[in-house]
Amino acid sequence: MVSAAISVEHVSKRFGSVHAVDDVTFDVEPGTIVALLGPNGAGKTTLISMILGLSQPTHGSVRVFGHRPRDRAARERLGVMLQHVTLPQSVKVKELVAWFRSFYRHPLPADHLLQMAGIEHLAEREAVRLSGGEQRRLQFALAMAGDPALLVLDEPTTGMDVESRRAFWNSLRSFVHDGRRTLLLTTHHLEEAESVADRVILLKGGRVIADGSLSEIKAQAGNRYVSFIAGPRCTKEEIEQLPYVRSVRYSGRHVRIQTDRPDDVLRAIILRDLDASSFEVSQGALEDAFVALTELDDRLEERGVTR
Amino acid sequence: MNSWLLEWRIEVLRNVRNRRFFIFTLLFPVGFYLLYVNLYGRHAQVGGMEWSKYFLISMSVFGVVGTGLNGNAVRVAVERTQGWTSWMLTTPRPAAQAVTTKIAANVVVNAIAIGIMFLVGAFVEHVQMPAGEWLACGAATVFGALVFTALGILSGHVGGREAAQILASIVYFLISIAGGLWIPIQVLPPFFHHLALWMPTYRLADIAWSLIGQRSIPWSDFAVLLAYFVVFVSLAAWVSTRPREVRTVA
Repeated sequence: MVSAAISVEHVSKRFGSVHAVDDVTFDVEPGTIVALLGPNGAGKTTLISMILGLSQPTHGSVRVFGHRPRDRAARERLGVMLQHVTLPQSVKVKELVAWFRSFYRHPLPADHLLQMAGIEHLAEREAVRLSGGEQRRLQFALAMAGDPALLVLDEPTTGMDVESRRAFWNSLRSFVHDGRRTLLLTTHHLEEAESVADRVILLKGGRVIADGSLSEIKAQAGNRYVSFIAGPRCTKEEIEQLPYVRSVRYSGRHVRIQTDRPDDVLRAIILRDLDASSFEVSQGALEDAFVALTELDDRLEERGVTR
Repeated sequence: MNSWLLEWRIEVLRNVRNRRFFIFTLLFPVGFYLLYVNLYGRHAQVGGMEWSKYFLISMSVFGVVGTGLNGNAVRVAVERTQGWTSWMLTTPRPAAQAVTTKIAANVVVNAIAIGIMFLVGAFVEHVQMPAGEWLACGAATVFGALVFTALGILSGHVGGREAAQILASIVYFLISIAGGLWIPIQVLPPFFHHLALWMPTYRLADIAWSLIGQRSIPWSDFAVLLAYFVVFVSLAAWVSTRPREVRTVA
């Protein structure tokens, strides 16, 4: 059996009386891209630091490819970008790359790393003199130095401007989407998570409140719909007989159908030749799902429901 | 290249590229040496030798204390508090490599500093010694100064960036003065003499002074230096391999 890239089992982390992470369990299969999302203080960074072996869980266990995170065997296959790192003074970019490469048995070629991060022209510069965005790209090159099977990126795009963010995700996608690498990332920019992740784990108050593929998460949040303007020949019965309808909202002639499968609803409307125009279809945005799920969780909490 | 050698080379370059290196290790000691030797006259007698020889050793030791302590303390503190050390803990780098390469790099840097001091002594102030004595004094100071490297690394681990810098500067001046590097203990009240015997600065300089004065080196010089070194290194190694707990509870 191939062991999971990351296996988190009933992990809790307490600081005094505060549960930063509270009984979290999940496995990450090799070759998947997982986004760990959640509001500030949700426990993302605490969870990541336990996966990296930088702190110990109060309860539960973490395994990376079946090894404890502090084991050399785990670290050889791991590439990391932490959230706040000041690079060492008086070291050139190319020296840092050589330094990191020297830790691993099968490092990627230095010029390849620089090129991938788009910083080949900065090789001779002193690392701390680079701009914030350039430093983040350098850190990405260093994270990739050991040709890691598992890449963990904690807020990789902080400090980058819009342009370099786009470039970063493009290079990341081409680099990771070959199925050999597993990627776990956290980000504040939901549209970024949406564009790369196969799976989303939503964390709130130290607990997992949603875990699934992007479409599952969006479906769960129920913000997918088809809306249109009903013509004079269109009846209420016709609308309510459509498949996969969860609820219908009328405001004048404007009709909005909540559904898990907006494509099938639209197909049925066309095939049945309903008198309708001005179609609008929403597959749901991760951002809406995120808000909906965290709010849902708040309401459940108020009612004293434990999940 | 082997990872250890590569990191060692980088650490040497980081020291030499640093502005503090020129100020604390080269400018201060050379400047004070020239100033004080000219103030009191190079032929004045102190501790059984010419003042120009005696004070050359004092300032050489003062210089290597500066590199070991000031250079390393701030660098280590920044690395530790600003995420670098944590990041390195996620790589397969051997745990002791950070400390051992820094210490080994200081051997090179100390050798450069002592070399320059001795050249100034020989060619500017006309200090004359047999070649063997120059070499023995130089080697003893270069390696003995590793005590201060270890102390610098330890100070960096103890405080944050500002705290480490202040701590290192205070310790730097205190042990230099208390160790008789600024004012020879021979001219001070007995209390300072007793105090100096416990200072690694005095003990290090005393090895070279003994060599020059044709005295046998007291075994206690080595014992005191070794004891300090072992304590500082073990403490530093212990703190450096302990990951900082990340606390992010809002």
